[in-house]
Amino acid sequence: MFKLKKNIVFAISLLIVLLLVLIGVYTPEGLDAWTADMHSYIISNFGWTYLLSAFLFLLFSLFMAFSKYGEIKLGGDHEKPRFSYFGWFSMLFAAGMGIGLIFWGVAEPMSHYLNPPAYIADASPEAAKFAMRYSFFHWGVHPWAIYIVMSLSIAYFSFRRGMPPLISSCFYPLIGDRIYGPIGYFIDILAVFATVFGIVTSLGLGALQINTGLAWVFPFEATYTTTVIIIAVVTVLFMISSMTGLDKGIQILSKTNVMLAILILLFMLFVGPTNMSMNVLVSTFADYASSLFSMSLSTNPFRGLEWTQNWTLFYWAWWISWSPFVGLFVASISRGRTIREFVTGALIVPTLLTFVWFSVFGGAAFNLELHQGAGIAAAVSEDISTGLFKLYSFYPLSEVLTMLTVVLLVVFFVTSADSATFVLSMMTSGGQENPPAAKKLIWGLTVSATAAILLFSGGLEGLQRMAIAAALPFAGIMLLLCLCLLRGVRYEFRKERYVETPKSEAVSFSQEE
Amino acid sequence: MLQKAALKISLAEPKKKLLDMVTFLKNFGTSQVVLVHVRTSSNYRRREEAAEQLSQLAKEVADLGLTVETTIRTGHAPTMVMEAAENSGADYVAIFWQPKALLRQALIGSIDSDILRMSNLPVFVYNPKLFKPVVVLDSVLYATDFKFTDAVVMPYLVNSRFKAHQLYLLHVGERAPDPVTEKDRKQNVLDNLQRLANECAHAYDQVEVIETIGMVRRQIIRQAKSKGVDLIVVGKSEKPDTLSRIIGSTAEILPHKARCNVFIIPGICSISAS
Repeated sequence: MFKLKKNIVFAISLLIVLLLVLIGVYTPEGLDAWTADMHSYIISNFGWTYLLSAFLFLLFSLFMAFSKYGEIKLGGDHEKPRFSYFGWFSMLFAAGMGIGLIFWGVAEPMSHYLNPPAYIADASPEAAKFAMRYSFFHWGVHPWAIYIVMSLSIAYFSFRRGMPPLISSCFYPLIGDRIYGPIGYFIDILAVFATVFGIVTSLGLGALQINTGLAWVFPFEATYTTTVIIIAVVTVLFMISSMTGLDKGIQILSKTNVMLAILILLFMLFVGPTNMSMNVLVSTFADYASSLFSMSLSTNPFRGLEWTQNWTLFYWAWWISWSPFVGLFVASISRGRTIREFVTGALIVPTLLTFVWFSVFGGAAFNLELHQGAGIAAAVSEDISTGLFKLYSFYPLSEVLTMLTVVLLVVFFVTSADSATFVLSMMTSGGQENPPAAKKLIWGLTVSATAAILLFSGGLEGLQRMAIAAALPFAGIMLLLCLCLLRGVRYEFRKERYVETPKSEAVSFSQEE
Repeated sequence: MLQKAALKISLAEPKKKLLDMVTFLKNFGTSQVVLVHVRTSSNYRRREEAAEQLSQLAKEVADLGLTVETTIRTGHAPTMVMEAAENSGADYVAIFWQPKALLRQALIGSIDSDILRMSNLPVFVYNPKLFKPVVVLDSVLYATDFKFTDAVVMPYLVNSRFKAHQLYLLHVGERAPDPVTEKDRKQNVLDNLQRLANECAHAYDQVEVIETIGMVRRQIIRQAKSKGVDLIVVGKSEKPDTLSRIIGSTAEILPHKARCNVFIIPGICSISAS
């Protein structure tokens, strides 16, 4: 009985995941239709809450960094950070953006360029400007603010207050010991649910792109079988990485990957249209900075609502559904840093790297598209995963670049899956910092098998929509997390740092005569 | 120490209930009262008319066995009441509480609320019940925060003229961010409550400590209601936080929300126990 209670989150989450996978296998159309309805209902009716929440998370992150609470350390007062700045930034980047950035680096600006909102002419200079600005917006400070709220809360309550690194732990100031009951289980199960479906979708899409990249270089046809082989190989790799532990495996892979990404980035910057890329970077940054506030809260109810729902709201929901996974992982690598250091580091460095990435790859793609009519945008609208490889085909050493990108994708794939396996095992083991290997194995295999099965049955999009549906309650959970964290740090400042000694202790009272 | 009370009289109070209030004051050991009436533009009576009504009331109060003085002033009511109380050497101010219209209170405030906010003397707020006269003081609830207000309030609570039988000592805290700290906090609170209970034990038949968490004003009202107390005693902080500056301190809000009598003792109040 005790064992079952201890593993209740594990058992229920696994059961729900398997059940949904079964539905995805037997009636992919049913799952697709059901999730499409739910997704459309949520985005239509609650889309604005995502925008508002993400903006509040950004404000909250800045408040935490620049208020007196910024000096609080995520750990003991004299604790030192476990990872160097480079190692930390590499892991932040790998977990938070990684595979998505490779996928969307060229595809997103091109897609917005060809299909902007109705009030902007397709393939016009305005569309190009809009495309870059919104690519920055979707991958800028907001996703990081979402991650920061989650990871800051987990890091504070686990490393500073000595509680298990679980999302439910953060709710102690609000609900007390009820975190050990059904409410706590519900929060953790929801987190597992969002993480599993998020990672399955991401890995499925990642495998597709690796497949496309390999088929671009080698003479074979990208089929389901080759995708499954890729998933199998990557699974073996991430399971090996996962078993070696967080310190070694993920750190080495993330550092290698960021160095490889920077190498490709520099190549594209200097071999490609350097001036164009730098112009795009500078002007888009100015555009982004000056319209940050209006973009943050623009649901565009009078024009372009559908575009906002399809892109911005989708992204926000997606980042929120990713946040339990990234939040837990980022928390676990940020021990020993102050809140100020953590927020500014996570908000600025990965965002800047992302901006440079979009400017270099987007700028290069626009240069070819506008001056040579390269047809990259058309290729993207046909198959999103081909955008980057199509761009490479106009560059020297294109096959080497493609292979390096495939390696990059594989390594990001491995690091994401490795981190996700670790986080899932931790969440389903009551927050153990070294979760049992058996659970890592079970979650690793579940994630990979689910991705492979759903790629076959066609239920992957349905699963992605499930993850987005989970984002709605999670947005509420995250707003409450802000309150809990605020209560926690305020308590620390009021009652522990500057203790007011009860004066009455020194006073003795006697009955009046 | 609560021998002399300054009663704010608008001359619109129901007389029977006002006399119940005076009777209730005797539970504090009060033997002298100063009836203060302030003529304002909104409560205007000719001086002679006011003097006659006040004199009539004074006679009835005197019949209850108290020494009575009267004074009539003209001007800003809260300021005049405070001035009269201080000039007459009153130990505290007593207010007969009448429900306030929410909108009126929000827009132009009320005399009673201003007195609560401005007073440097303890303020007793009598909350009359609709049907049952409240004349006996059986149980008291003191909400403590273990800060300086204990030093000010406790001498009143252990005063032998304070004739209550049962004392509840309540602490409303904030839950600590983790279970270990919470356990320590709880234990610390219970220890402090027990210490206060020991200090008061000789003055009451029964002293009970209550430890709870939540919003302070809500918990005070909830506990007072569940224990059916006749009087809530609270100290008033002289350093309100930002929120209190905007919506009023707990002590200032309690009379509006509580369904029983409230005694508010300001932190600045330095009346000795002797």
